Amino acid sequence: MGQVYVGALPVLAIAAWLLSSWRSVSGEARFLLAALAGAVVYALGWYTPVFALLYDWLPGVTLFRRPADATFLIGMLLALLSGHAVTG
Amino acid sequence: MRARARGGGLLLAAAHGMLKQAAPLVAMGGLWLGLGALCLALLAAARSLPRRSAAALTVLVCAAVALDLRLNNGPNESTALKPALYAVMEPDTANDTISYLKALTRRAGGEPARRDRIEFVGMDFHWPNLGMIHGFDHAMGYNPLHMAEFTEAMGAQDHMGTAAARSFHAALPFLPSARPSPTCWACATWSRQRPSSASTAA
Repeated sequence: MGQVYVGALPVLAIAAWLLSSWRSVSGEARFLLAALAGAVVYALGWYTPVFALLYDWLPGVTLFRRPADATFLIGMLLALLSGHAVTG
Repeated sequence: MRARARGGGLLLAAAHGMLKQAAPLVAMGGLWLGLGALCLALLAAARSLPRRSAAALTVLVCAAVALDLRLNNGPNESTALKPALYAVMEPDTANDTISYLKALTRRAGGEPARRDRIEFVGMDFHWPNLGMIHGFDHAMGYNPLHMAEFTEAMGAQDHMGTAAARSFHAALPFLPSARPSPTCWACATWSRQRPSSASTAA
């Protein structure tokens, strides 16, 4: 399972960036934010109703049994977003 | 926002009577957030400095981030354990338990075909996967790649921490019911049970 903690600086940078310039976020950053939200929802697995729908209807989901492994994607997405936040 | 999150964490800890244990950790988290804020301020300041000074500040910030990740995301009591712990995963291990189980499941020439199954219950995370290395038939291994069809057929969940977590699909009559071996402390006792559902652990 991937680690979710990516460091205090990235977390603060992303928070400050979103709070200060949410309306001017680039299209690429919006995609990454949406992907992050999707990865978080997926990683929560059966604790949300979304995974049940994905499990039943989206091909390929039944090949993997541990939704929490999406935390690997969360780490990558947070790294990319922190780059956006720092370079702003 | 961070202060409220920490405050919420402290309230939750207090509600469960764990404030004494949680407070130092929350305080440590607050220190690291403070360091992160300082690094952000340094990065902002570096933009208006000469190139060399800016580069030096950036290196300093990178060192701080590296230290943060090394201490807070590095090896802990669950990771980076000593290789000796996993010596049982060597194909030619001399582990007594593995040797005993191999002797139990060895099929002499002329015996009718049978496949004894071994299930490791509540024995760490790597023991349930020893079947892949030592040739045991083990359906309940710790394996995040169980496909849905396998789970529904075998009732295999993510991991078996206790004997009560076993569930075997009654639609597989060729799997013999096993009686417990009083001399085999590593073997689980089981009986055929219908799985509660085709649920897969998160």
